[in-house]
Parts: sequence; C-alpha cells; structure tokens
Amino acid sequence: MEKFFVIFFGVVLINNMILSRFLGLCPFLGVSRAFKPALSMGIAVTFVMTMASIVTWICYTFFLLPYGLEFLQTIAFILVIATFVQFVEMVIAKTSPPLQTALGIYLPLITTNCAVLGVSLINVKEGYNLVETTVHGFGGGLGFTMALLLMACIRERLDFAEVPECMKGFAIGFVLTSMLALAFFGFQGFFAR
Amino acid sequence: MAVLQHLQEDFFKGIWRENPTFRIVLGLCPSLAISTSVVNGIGMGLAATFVLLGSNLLVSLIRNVTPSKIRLPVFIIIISSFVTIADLLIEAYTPDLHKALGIFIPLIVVNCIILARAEAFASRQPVLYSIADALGMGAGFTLALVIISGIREAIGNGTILGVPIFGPHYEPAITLILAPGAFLTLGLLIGLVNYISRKR
Amino acid sequence: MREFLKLTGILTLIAALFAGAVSYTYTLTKPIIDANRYKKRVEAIAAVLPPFNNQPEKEKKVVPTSKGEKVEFYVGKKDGKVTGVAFQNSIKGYSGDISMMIGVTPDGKVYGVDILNQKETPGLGAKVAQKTFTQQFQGKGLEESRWDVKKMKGDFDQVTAATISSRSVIEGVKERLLLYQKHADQILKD
Repeated sequence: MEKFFVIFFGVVLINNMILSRFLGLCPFLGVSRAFKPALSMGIAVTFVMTMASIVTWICYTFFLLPYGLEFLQTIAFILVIATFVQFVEMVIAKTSPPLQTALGIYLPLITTNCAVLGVSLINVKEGYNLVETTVHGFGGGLGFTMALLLMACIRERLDFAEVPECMKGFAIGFVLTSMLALAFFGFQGFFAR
Repeated sequence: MAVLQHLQEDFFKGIWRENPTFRIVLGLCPSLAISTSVVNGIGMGLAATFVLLGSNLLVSLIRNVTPSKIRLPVFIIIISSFVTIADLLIEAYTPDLHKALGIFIPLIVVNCIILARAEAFASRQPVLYSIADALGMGAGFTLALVIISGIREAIGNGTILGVPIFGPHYEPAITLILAPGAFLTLGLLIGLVNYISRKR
Repeated sequence: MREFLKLTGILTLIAALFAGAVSYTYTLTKPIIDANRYKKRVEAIAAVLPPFNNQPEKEKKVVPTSKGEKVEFYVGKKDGKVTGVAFQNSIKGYSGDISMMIGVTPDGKVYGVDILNQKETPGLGAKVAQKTFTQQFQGKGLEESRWDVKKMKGDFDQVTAATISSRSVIEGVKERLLLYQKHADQILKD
C-alpha cells in the first residue's frame, strides 16, 4: 500500500511529468492558454495515459518478454498507443458526439505526446507490476493535468500584463514554466529517509 | 542550377529561418532534458539527425506507393524502426552516451520534428530534397541543442565539454542544470531569437 | 472491405519488413552490448578489490536477504587464497536509487566503495560519487565505526548540503557489510 502512495505522489509532485521529467511539453504550451481547453486536454491525457500504461504493460509482459523481444518495445508501444487512441476516437465518435467535439483535436495529438510513450517506457524500466503501472499512469496523467491547469491560470492573467514584444508567446511561457518548476523543486527529497 | 539552389534552400532553412527548436518550437522534450552538457547535446543532435535522415529518405522513397489512409502508421513504423536501430547502435558502440541519453533515445520516436518533417515535407517531395531537408533540420536542431547546453553547462557547471572555463573559484549556478534552468534558458533564447528576427 | 484488407496487408508487410531490419541489427549488436555490460561489471568489481588473479565474476556466491533479494558476492583470490569479496547494493537516495559496488577484505573491513549509478542533484548530492567521499570508507568495519554522518553522532563525513545522499550511501554500505558478516563463513569457504 505504501508503495502505491510513493509511486503516486512521486509522479504527481516530485517527478512531475512536465516540470521535472520534461515529458509532454508540446501540448503543454499549446493548450495551456486558457483553463477550459487545458482541463479537456488534461482529462484526455489522463485517460489515455492510464489505459496506455495498462495496454503496453500487457503487451510487454505477455508478448515481448517471453520471446526475448524486448528490443522491439519502442515500435510495439508506439503502435499500440496509436492504435488505442484511434480506437478510442472511433468509440467516442459513435457513442458521444458532444464528447468528441469537446475533446476535438486533442485526442489524436496525444498519440505523439512524449508523456504517454514516456510513461509506458518508465513502467517497464522500473519493473512495475500491473497495479503499480496503473497507479503510475494515472498519477502521471494527474500530474500533467495539474501542471497544465496551473500554467493556464497564470497565462490567463498574463493577458493583462505588459509583455515585451519579443517575449510574447512561447518565450514568456517557458520563463513562467521555469518558475513553476522551481516551486515544484521544493518537493524533492520528500520520500527520502 | 535550380536544383542546387533548391537544395541549398532546403538545407539552410532548417538552421535559422525555420529552426525547429527556436522558431517552430518542436522537439522540446529532449531539448530541455538532455541539454545539461554540450557532449550530450551533440550526441542527441546526431542521433536525432540520423533518425531524421533515415525517416525522410524512406518516407520520400515510398511516398508514391503509400496509400494516404495509412500513411501515419507507416511513418510511425519507419521512424520507430530507425530509432530502435539507433538505440542499439549507440548502446553497442558508445555506451556512455547511451547511459547519458537514457529514455530520450526511444523518445526520439515522438520527437515532433521527425513526424512533422515526414508529414509536411518528405511525403511530398523527391528524395534529394528530403535528404537536404533532413540534414538542415537535423543541423538546426543540433545547433540549438549545443547552444542551450553550452549555456547551461557553462553557467550551471562552470565547464564546456568537461573543461572548466571559469577557474576553481567559480560557484556554479546549479539551478541551470536542473529543470527550472532548462525552461528559463529556452524561454530567454526564444525571446532573443524573436528579437533578432524582428530587427532584421 | 477489399480496401480494408489491402491496406492492412500493405501495413503488415511494411511492419514485417522493418521489424526484420531491426531484428537483424539486434542480432548484430547484442554480442557487443553483452560484452560491454560484462566488461563494465568486471571493471567495477576490480575497482574495489585488492589485487587478485582469478575471475571473481565467475566465482560468485549467491546469498538471499531477509527481503527475498538474491545478492551476488564476487570472490577475489590471489593464487587460490581469498583476498577480497565484492558485492553490490542499490539504495534509495535523495532523488532516486544510488547503486554502488563495495569491496571488503576477508575480515569484513571495507577495501573500496564505488558509486555505479546515481541521479542525485548535480553539484550537491552527486558528489557522493566522487573519490573524496567514497575513500573515507576504506579500512572501516562494522565494529569500530558508527555508521552515520558526523552530524548525527556518526563517524563519517557528509557532502556539504547533501546529508540525505551521504546518509543513503553510508546506510547502503552498512547494510551489505551486515549481510556479509552474517554469511562470511559460507562465502569464504570453497
């Protein structure tokens, strides 16, 4: 039980996907301008990350490992993730068009999200079992969402600030992210003896 | 003559005008994560260029026989195969670099630069131009990595390529080697590049 | 339907082709990678043991811990006589696991400690990997020393501003020394 706690808070606060591991940056900056799209993206990513963690773990444990094919994991994982996202998109399109409109282009974008592939690879590298993998994937998504929402709130305020022309957009975005990362750095060593 | 000019253009645009890191702002994950030392920056840049080259080459070669509907999965198969090959070669011949780059080698697969170039350029352009594009983008990416890691290593560690440059009494600003420093360096550099571009 | 089959067919063909290329590269590089790993391990062992002329990696003893792990003890011998034993440990540090190779003389006193892998804060905790920190373990045993940092009434120096990383390494060495002591007879006999 304690281990799940450690994994969960580890990935949400201490080794935050975006602010500490640098995974998931492309959507992070693109979608964090306003709260609502940020929330939609966060939920979508959390869902995909959790499911992808499980599916890639199954793929690795039952199809790659027993046959000594671990070296194919990158190819296998990305194909699994891409297929899964495609599949989810189809299901959502059939069952809930309003949800599809809400998620919009975010879902396919998640396929190339380094965070999803990154989490899957870390799961395997750390040797997590199925439950630990799920916790890690879910936590990763939550951490991603949290950083995204924090950033969105800051940037919404930024619209009213005077930013020098050359710093507008990504430039100031990154500088802000650095401060957020600095703040989160305070969580380091949380679980040390 | 026009071909040569075209090639030159395709190559050089990747270095400044359409630099993937500073102008198009793609491929961020590795740019920030491994740019803690110039050696790592060069290593990653070269690995990514290798994959980009292979990917652009093959995507361009089979562009006329690839059905449009499955082009994205096909790109992914090609890119991930090259990445795995690069990963194996790096692990075999330069194990220290492999340890330093860690999971960011497999993550080249989702390096947006590579997929973006495959989709936007290589799938529509002949092989020769695709090669030039790959080399240019790769060079631009490597250049960006070297600049970022140069700054981070110099200020954050007092060295460049492992060689101390400020003398023994320099207190390194360690933050620059860590996550916050990465974001800060990139943000300021993008601002600088924007400033220079506007002045022209 | 036909189109679907055709597309799937082409995709499968391309996938198989590339998987083949990757597998081929794998068979080429695997021996090199395995040889590298072996060489690294052999070097790590040699770095912490007194001179030997056997192959400790080949003469290892495996001992189970109370946690159920299996720890390998690499026995170094010179002309048939045991000169030292090396073993690994991986312990939780400040920001990740620290893995180390420890070498002792047969009496259980440390001969050398080498940090193999760590993800501690560069410039701070990462300094535990430097010789200036690890050499203080030389000659120390379980009885005469108190295994903690001086700040905590122990006998060992810490890296400035990196108490946690330092304590982790000290704890890691002590943990394995205890295990060695418990099974020394079994490890040292032929």
